Amino acid sequence: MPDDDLKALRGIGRELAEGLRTHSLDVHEGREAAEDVVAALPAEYWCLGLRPDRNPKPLREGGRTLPVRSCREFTALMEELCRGDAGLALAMPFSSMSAMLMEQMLDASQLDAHYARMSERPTWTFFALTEPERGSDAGAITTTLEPGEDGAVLNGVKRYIGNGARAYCGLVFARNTAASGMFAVQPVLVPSDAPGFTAELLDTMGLKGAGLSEIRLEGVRVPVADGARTAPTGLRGAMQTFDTFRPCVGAMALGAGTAVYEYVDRELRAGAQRNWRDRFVHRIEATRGLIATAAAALDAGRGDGSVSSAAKLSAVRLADALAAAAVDVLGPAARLDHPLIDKWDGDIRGIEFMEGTSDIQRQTIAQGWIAGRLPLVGARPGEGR
Amino acid sequence: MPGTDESTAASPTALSPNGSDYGATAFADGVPAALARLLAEHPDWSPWGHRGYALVPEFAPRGTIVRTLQSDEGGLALCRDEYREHSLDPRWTAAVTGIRLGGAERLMRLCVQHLSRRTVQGRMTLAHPVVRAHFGEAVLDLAEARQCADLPAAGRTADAVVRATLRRFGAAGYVDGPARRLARALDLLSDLYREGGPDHAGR
Repeated sequence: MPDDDLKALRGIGRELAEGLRTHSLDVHEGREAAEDVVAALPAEYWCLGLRPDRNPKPLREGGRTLPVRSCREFTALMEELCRGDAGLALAMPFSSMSAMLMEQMLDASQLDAHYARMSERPTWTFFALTEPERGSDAGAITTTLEPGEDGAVLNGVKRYIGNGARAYCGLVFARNTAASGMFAVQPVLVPSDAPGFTAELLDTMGLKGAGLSEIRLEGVRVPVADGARTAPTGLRGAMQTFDTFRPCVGAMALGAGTAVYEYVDRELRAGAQRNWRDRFVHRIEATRGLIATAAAALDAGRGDGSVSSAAKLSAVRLADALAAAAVDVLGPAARLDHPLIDKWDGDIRGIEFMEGTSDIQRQTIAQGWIAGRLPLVGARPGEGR
Repeated sequence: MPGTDESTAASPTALSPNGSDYGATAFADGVPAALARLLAEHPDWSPWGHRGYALVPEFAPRGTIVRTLQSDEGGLALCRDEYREHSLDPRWTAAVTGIRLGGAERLMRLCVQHLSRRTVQGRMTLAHPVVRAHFGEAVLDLAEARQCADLPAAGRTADAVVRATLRRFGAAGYVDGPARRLARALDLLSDLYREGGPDHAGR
């Protein structure tokens, strides 16, 4: 996407974010459902991210179409939306991680039906990998896929799954009991109306709009015999999805952190404002540059995970520092006097757990640099911005 | 040499100005129990914090109840009386600093119990060096804070330990449960009773 179009996309994102912000506290405090906020938006917004050949309502600006397909485009848009409200940004249907794998897994007629539904009304999908007590340790997955005569049966529990309770279908990562090795863990497409499938919304500290849920699978039958509903990619598919989404998660943290920054900046007197800006404005710029570098690397097929990890960790560290500093700088009773700041603190803490915690990112960064895959000297600042 | 004359050694620390360790009660029995003990032993101390808010045990509300909340053990009431905006009692806030430190250590204990039940790549999470290092740093930070005569600084240490420890719970600390409830109670205690630190630049 040319730079002018990217600038236009950011402008549209900013405008949408301002609208989302007006619903922030109502959604956070349970007075309004995130799905209702999304459903009230023009179709161009909940059709975002659909393949251009499948999108009946593409975003347009000045007579030209603005597709949102590359990592660079997604990160720019997510940053702007999260300046409005990170939870509601995650309530947008395009935020689901399932899209990439579903395109590989569904046959032509299934894709037709899927895209028809996605373009008729706001429609959500889920990506169910994480389990209770195991986090996202994909190698320790206990949800089972037991092949049988009429397909296979799923049993297990998934937790902290975005959109889980409002999705019409999604991907469940399960261990095929008849397989071993690296392909034993497979993504399986599961409709949410399948007998034995239940999903319940979790009470979370923040990101209420994301609809984090617990999914229970008790004897859920899936017709895997036709081979179209699992992907023979094992865990590789999940890892690739994480790598692709990690800069987007970084952009989310940057957006949410920037919201905090701008709010506090408006509240402070001149002298205090200068101190505040000195502390953070350069860090914000530096993190934006890292995210742009990671997105450019992914779009060019050069990303190996460590650049994405650097982008995410930089953003999460920054956002966390901003949230903690905001409560301090705004003075005593800041959480009660400034409920948006308290809410954003909760949102930002949730982003830490998406696509790998900070401990995991640090290890990935270290491994990448030690192996020479993450060169610092010679890298151009802000590449791909 | 600083800290060697008797007058400095007798200065109040976050252990509490009158020698009672309300932090120990917070660690052993929870925040509501510690506040209840404080109220019972010092009914003449004012529990009102900043902006006329108070966080007290649920059974002993004052003024108007804004909302009630559950800590990990027992209930609390967030109360308000707008005529009490400037009623901070330094004895109460000093004792609450001790409670915040004891509460932070209680959260760490909950975290140890949680992580001892979890595994990562086949190994108990608690045994991972990165996790152990976190606890090492946090224990040292709290130990120093308990010796500290600078109560605002001790309080900021409690805040930092609570924030970092809650993160260690992973997503389990993000959903409703004992960890999140205890951390929320400690965050509110900080919000209502802390003094502005060196970064507090005012509005």
